Amino acid sequence: MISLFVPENGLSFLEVSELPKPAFFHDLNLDAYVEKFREDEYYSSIEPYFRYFPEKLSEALYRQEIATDLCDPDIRASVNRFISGIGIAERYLSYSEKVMSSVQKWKWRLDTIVQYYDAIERFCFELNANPPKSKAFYQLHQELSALLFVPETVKLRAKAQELNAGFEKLKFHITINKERATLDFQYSEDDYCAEIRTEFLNSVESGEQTFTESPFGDMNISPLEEFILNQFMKQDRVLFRDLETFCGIKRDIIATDIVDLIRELRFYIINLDYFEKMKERSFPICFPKLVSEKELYLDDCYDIVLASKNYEQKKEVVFNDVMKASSEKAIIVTGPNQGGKTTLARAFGQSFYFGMMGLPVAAGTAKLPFVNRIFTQFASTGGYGVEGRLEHELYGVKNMLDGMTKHSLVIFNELFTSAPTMDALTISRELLARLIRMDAVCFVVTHTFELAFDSDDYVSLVATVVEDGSFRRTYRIVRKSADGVAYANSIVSKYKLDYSHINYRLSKK
Amino acid sequence: MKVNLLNCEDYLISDVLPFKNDIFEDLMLEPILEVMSKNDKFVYTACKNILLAPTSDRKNILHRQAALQEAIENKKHIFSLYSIISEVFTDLTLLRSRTKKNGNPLPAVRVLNSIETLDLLSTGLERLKSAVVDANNQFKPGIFRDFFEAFLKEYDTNFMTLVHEKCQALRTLQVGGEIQISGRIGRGMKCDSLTVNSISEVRAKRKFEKWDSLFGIRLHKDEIRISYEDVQLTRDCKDLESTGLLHVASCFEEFNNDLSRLFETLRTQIAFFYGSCNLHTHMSGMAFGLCFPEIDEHPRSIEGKGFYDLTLAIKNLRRPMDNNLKGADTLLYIITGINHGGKSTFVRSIAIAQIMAQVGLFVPALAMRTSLYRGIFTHFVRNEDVTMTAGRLEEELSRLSRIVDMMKPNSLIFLNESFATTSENEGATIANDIISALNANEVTVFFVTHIYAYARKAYQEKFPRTKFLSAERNERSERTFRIVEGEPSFTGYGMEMYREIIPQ
Repeated sequence: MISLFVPENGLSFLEVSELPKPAFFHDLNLDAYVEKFREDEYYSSIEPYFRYFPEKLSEALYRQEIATDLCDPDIRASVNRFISGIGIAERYLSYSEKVMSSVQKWKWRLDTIVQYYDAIERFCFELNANPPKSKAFYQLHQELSALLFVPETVKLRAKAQELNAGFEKLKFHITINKERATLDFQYSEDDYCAEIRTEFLNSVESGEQTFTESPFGDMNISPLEEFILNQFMKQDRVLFRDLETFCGIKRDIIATDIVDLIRELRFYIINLDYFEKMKERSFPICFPKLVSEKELYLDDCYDIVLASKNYEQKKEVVFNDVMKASSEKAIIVTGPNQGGKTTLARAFGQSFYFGMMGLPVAAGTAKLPFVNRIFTQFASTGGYGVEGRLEHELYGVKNMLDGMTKHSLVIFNELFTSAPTMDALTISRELLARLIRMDAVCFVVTHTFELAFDSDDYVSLVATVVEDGSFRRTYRIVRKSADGVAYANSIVSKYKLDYSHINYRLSKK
Repeated sequence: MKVNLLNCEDYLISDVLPFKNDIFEDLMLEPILEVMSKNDKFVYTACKNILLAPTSDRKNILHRQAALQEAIENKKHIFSLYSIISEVFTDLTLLRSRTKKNGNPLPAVRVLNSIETLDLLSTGLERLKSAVVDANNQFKPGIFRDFFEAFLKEYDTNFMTLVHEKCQALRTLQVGGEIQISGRIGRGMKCDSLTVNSISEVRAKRKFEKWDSLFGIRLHKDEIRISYEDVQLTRDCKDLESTGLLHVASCFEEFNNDLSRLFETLRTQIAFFYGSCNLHTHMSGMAFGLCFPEIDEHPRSIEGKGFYDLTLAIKNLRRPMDNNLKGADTLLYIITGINHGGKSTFVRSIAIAQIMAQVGLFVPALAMRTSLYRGIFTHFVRNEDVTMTAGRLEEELSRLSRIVDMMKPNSLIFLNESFATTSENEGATIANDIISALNANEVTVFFVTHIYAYARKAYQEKFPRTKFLSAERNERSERTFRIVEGEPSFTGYGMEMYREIIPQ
């Protein structure tokens, strides 16, 4: 069966589970992102896919096509129905393994078969009615349809449906009062509640006709149910014998391929749901344009983990733009402490991660060069002496250089701070030159601002501070330092209250 | 049924007043609500919510004006309707708190609770009906009469009988009725599609069944006896019965909820009329003038005679200075002049009148003719921020920015001493930038200001659609607290005041 992560033979769930966790997860706050799904029922079957990073641009594009298709509300609804349909089949199957009563075991197996194929058939039908655009879904549709037309499957389903129809005819009613209860074999459609509803509320449509919750649980059969069942078994021996011949032996009903497929779909949907939730909170999200050249732009990007935290605490979220032409070699970020530099580094790295995974990114618009390796070196806090820290960092750099490919993203955050400034500058220059030779996308946050002046080919970003006497940081990082602006005017433009902004803001409505 | 006393049927809530708390503070509306509510908390909340929800829907305002006029003519009936509904609510709250105390009750008890609530509501309904019948005879044909008649039709005698019957049927179950439930064999051989068919008294012919079963005779061909001697089966039967009963109870609860909702909407709407009648009585006693405003179909006009600050009138029990305003097709009002010359009071009186007009109320003026605005905003200087001088401009502008976020073209904003926290020139530039951008988008601005640089520029350059108002001074240079049209005054006479207080 097709994989939703690579066009050819993808890794199975077991193989994916053995992939190591990428080293950059911690630095980029992606640990916290994955952690958000911990409470999800299917967390353990989804989590490994976060490590499944693409090797080729074609793979990243392949994933993005799938995610784009899944953003179509109709397709998403079909896929969700498919997932829950197969989920129900899996549940029935697990019931069949757990229950003690053998006749119940057979019936759960029968129900599994009916449910499983019905879910697949319905999904194929819906894909046919509303065809997705991606290659992956096209192929998936073909494979699932083919599955339904295998002669054994056709035969199996026909028998299962026939039996099922037989069981659907078994109806009864029970009359209960203080003295006695009696059972009778007719089903009455009379609905007392519907009567009340029509007489009192003048509405029939609302409310459930049948009990929403059965008093007898989901899986096991209760004594009363068994009593009823026994009456039916006496009446219709043939039907029950047929059931035994058909379902008496255990068979493999749900293919492992399909189970993996469901996990993969769940991975996409859980992430898309999260991004869409951010969108509802009016944060921008978009699918980035993935390209092979080293040109990039990210408008209004933000750290998605921090943003959702700030949103919950009603704190402001700052959006930043990053842009680099393909001729430009590196992005150097300087500026005061606590000016939002680390957050931008994270947002930048996250965008690459999510973009390559085929998911949307936390930005207004984006174009990203393809990368298959992400390396981060964030200043390590504590644990090492001053000299030990530099050594540790340099070892990290060495490992990185060993693992680099032609498509690498490197993010440095405040490295070599333990070395004297001149040393740090020399090391950084040397290292940066080497990285540029290796054609890596470099994003360097540094205290040594001289680095930014080294070449015209460096993009220089500066964190800004609003000079209102309190030295409060705006957390806004701009391409050139914004100085020489009068205080009042700067506040006016900060709040977008100059003529053209007001005009723009009002004329939108 | 729908209650359309307050609003037309097709009324859509529009957000004319997004910053309710700011407006409430800036315009000091508390005393007005105190008069309206007469210490009734519910009336207070209802009136506050409605007062702070003006609309730009002309049809709806006219509807409410008409309804309110009817109510004012029949104050007595409005009072009695309101008190009956309140009493029903007191009973209902009591009942609810009592049943809540018992925690999660048994199914049979829950059914019983539903019946009790139903009883209470139907009694309340009966009382309300008789009050409505009385009122119906008094009101002239109109909005209230339409509602009364629809109400009496919906809850006619047949309906009430039906309610009583169902209550009775449910009670029989408590003393020994029977329940019939249908189902079929579903997934995993479990019972599925369970439906309650009927709840009834035990059929009489079954009385002899005991004898029959002794002799092993069955009354019905296919009927099978489920033995109550089997403990597990008995428990299952009881469970099934309970679940069925709960299901039925939930249907009744749905009906009860419907009825309580009706009472609730009715209570809120009547509360508003009740509050408005209170305010009307109170103000009529003082005879400062009240009128229903005429709603102008053209935009951007506020005109009227004898506007006074309602809050001030209520507080001082004295006729405050009133003002006239001629503002046909005007987008900008620049109000300058002497300190404590009545500028803020003037702006407040117009703002309150405009909000009341768009709520559909009468207004504190002798006559008023006004356009409808899609948004009403106030931007008053906040006293509490005086100490943090460093951040004041920032605070002001951030507040204004939030206002612009919510603002639509054709809105109305009252700026009171805005942009005064920076230098005169800077203030003038900011004011000019912001106000001209607002005006360009058809936003009407009332601007009380001391920034003379700005006012002079506007006057000399003859800004279009602009009125200049200033605090009047008589021949002896004394304040009259009246606002009149005229050239912007050069100073707030602060220096004079200084000299007055601190003689040389």
